[in-house]
Amino acid sequence: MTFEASMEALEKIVKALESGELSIEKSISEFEKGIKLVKECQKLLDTAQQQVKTLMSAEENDSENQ
Amino acid sequence: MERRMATVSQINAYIKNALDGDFLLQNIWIKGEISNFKLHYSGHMYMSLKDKDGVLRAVMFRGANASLPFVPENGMQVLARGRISVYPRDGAYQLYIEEMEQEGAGALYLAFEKLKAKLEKEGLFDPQRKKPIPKYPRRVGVVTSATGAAVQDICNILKRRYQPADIILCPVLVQGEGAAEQIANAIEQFNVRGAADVLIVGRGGGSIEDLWAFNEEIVARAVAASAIPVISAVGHETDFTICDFVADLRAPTPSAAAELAVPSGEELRERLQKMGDTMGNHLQLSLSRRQEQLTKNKNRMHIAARRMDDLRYTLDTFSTRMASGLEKKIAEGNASLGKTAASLDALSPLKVLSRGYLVAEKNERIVRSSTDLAEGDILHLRLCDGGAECVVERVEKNDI
Repeated sequence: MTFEASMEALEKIVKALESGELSIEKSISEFEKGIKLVKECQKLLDTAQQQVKTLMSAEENDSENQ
Repeated sequence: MERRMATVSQINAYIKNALDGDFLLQNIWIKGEISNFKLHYSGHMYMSLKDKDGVLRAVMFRGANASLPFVPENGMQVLARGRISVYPRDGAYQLYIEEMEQEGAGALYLAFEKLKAKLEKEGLFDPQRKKPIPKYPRRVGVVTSATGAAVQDICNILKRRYQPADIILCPVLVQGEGAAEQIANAIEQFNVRGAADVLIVGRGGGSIEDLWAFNEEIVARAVAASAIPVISAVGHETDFTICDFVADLRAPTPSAAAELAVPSGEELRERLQKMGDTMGNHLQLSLSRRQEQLTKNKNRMHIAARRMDDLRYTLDTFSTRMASGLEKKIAEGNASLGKTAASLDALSPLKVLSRGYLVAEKNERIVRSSTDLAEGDILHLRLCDGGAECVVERVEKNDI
């Protein structure tokens, strides 16, 4: 699941829980799902190691033009 | 032959007069390149205008240059308007500049406006064309100079703000020959290789000429054709380029572009924390709401049970009342029965008999009159405690 999908799923769960319209069983299972997503997202933020790469050098770009 | 002779001052004055009298030289536009530029502490500007074959000295006094929209530099191509006159002290003629324009600035402006109008007509600036910038990009492509401050600024901010996004650099020339082509090609390559989720295209500040590559049609077309959303970040906040208009989002500076390209990890962490809290609170809330409901239901059941008890009690009362009512009715019945029995008793022949009367029956019929009798009849006598059979000896009649 992408970070974006996780965040979207999370927002949905929060909204559903906020609405107070879920059954108690559903509330609990959604809460469990939500907490799992929060932990996953937090983990991604905490452990991500940004990489800096180069698509192509200026010289390559130059040669592409020629 | 008479010698005509004049002093230096006289001849300079004569020439000055001759030039000042020339209508054409009093108001003329001169095109040239600035050299030997000098801003005197008095505020006057001294320079030469030159082309490849000659030089013209020029001066622009403080009063005239106060409204100059640019700072002249050596090498700058300009159009200067003024009058040609002689400075007698030097014995040299020069241009007294009244106003001056950067040559090309006007041409560039026109080219800018023309391309802008053309692309606008094609709908390339249409807000509906603009693609949304992804909220959580995994790769940020950067098209800018490898050496400028812009790339440093962008990398620093991306690093500080959001680690989950990788940075994919594509160094390009951002000014001069071939810059526009390199920028356009870089955008295209990112698309061909699907190498980024969002692109930052730009450079740091500079003169209008420095920024010009971002006003070229080839760059505008590449940005418009890009399937990857493009954030344009050219120069400073006040600089607007064609690239800005075509891009999906315009950032006032390269640093701002980096801020717009990725979310803030810090804010995300806070938000996640808050979401966790919210979920917990709401679960707690719905649990306690359910609890409340249970308590309420329990109370209602108690109330219902109490009502049942009441009903039962009422029923009991009813049955008691019914029973006692019935008893009373029975007693009443008994009493009236007694009375009836008593009156019956009073009417009973046995009662009469007990007083000493007796009933005579002949052939099971009560004998009421002596005329019913004849000698020899067998009569059955009924007494209160028994009876007897007897025979009539004689019949006596009373005269009534």
